Amino acid sequence: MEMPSPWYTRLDKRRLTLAETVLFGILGGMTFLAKILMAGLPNIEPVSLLVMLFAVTFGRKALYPIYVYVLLEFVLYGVNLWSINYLYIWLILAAAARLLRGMTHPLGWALLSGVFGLFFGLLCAPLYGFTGGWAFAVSWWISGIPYDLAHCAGNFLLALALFGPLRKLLNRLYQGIVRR
Amino acid sequence: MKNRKLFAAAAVVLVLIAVFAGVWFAARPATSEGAKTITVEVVHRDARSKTFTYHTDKEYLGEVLQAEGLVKGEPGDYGLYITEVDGESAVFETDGAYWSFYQGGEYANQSVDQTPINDGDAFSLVYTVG
Repeated sequence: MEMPSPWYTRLDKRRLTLAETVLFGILGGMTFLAKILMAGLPNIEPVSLLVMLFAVTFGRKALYPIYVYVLLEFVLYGVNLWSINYLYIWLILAAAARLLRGMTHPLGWALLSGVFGLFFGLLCAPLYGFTGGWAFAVSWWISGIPYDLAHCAGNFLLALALFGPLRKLLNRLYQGIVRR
Repeated sequence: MKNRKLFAAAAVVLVLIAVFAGVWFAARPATSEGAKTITVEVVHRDARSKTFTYHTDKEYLGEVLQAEGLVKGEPGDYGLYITEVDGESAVFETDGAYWSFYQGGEYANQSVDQTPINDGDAFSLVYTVG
């Protein structure tokens, strides 16, 4: 019977190595750069795809590249009301991806990413309920539905095409770093 | 079995898409055809105010403002993000400045290109910081 590892070794596993620190910094920066480069494409963003990839590859450590990206957003665009959305919204997707990490079919990942795009406005709306009232939040969400539908389609297609190959690539890269 | 689950999930997503589209369709503001006269007040950084009057048969405000050259912008996550009005730019990245948009004196919850216009409508674009 396998003995559970003592708490200090579990903590140690969560500590970042130098290589991991560098990797997560680069991936967070690349996420930000990819978003800027794709900003011209209407409602097609790479962040959802990358957050899912980080969650299935790095587990809890996915929080590092995700929040490096969020921090870069805050540094470049400033801290505003919408910034609060960015503090929790990616966590929801990362948690869902982590729960579904055993899923292998690209269609499943495309559906998850598509649903996240579809619900993006709805997940952001509660914040506007606190600041502008619930009627404003509902009206804000409804007026943005056409964009959420486009976001859903963009996320679906991007994940369908790229999740599988990028997962293999990132996994190979990370295993290489962990083994060193 | 796995494929059956995936197809069931895909069907649920399609239903959700239909529900969301239905909600938007049922709640969307109505547009009106024909000639309309609208006013757009621009409040600049130095609090200087200018009012523009347009006669148009277009259905959405964004089309009018861009055709008249009053605003410039770029596609944002939720519609046109206005970067310049009446020759004055607001650069959020520099000092948190942006153009806020009001419809009938109320802060609007949609972009100008999503805003239908009716005869006699009054809009404001206000240079805002922070």
